[in-house]
Amino acid sequence: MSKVVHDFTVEVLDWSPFVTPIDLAQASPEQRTALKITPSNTKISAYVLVLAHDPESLESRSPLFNIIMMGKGGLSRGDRELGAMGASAVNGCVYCMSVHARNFNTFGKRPDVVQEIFAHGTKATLDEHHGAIFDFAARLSENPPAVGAADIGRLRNAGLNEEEIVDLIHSAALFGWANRLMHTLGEPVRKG
Amino acid sequence: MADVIDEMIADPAIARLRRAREDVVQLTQRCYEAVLTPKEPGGLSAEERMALACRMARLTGVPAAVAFYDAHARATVQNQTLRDVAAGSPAHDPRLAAIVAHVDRVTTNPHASGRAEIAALVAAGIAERDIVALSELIAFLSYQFRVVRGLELLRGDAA
Repeated sequence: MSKVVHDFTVEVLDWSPFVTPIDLAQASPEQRTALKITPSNTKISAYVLVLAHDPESLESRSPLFNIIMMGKGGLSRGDRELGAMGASAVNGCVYCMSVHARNFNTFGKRPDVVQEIFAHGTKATLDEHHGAIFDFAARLSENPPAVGAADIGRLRNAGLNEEEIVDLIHSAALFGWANRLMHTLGEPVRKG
Repeated sequence: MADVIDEMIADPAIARLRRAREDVVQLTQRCYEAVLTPKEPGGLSAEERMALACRMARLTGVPAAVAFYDAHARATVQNQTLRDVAAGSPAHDPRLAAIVAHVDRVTTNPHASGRAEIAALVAAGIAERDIVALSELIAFLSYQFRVVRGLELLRGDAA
């Protein structure tokens, strides 16, 4: 219990489920098919083995997740990670935040942005480009009908075109989904 | 099945813009079918799933999604208890009450859900596979409502 992590971190964390993961040895053909297309075939994580209770969702969700975050062209990879961080800040998903803050640091190379978000959450004060993206993702995550034309205007002023805005909508919205699974079906724990 | 987000947005220019990510469009539709009308519904019937989706749409308040799920729930949810759940009323049967409480909590404040909330579902007799299926339903719809809101704004809806 004492190993549960409550604060945002870039540490590599483990995830401890509240629901029993499926037993791979007993997996149905549908579960095996769904598990084959996840990124981690060698060692399947407890998280994915929990989601395998619903193989129909998992089978389409895994490739959708990869395309939204890694598909070629459009919004930069770092900016998509920032969209994921905006959602994870609102939803308080420590595990998702740790993964996507590390990814942001890989693509965005702006550790100061991560520091500011960890220190101030959704109240983080960022430069025009990062601020427009992070605030849009956070506002869409918090209360979708409250997002308005002014929020879209701010993204356009920051230089995003229509295709890039759609990519950001997808990455922010995707973490409305991922946070609700990761945070409610288990908890982040320190390794070791 | 036609693409339900195109149906909600009903704007050819937005439908074309979405096709810059054709694979996202197709996989999103497949996930919609997996949570609303799965081949193996387990312990959550399609009628229950649609009633809960309508309830979530109203709780979230994205106009195009509310209109879509209101119309579909009216057309496909026959059971009066589930019609009440769809409209936002409380449920009295312990199993359904536990499901509705979880739906309301995770839709509006996922951070408030933890170990005790999953234990409450187990105590109400809900199987683990159905807990995961319910979680996917709530989580997918939370994604879909936000995609729809973003597209509504790109369509040029004010407010």
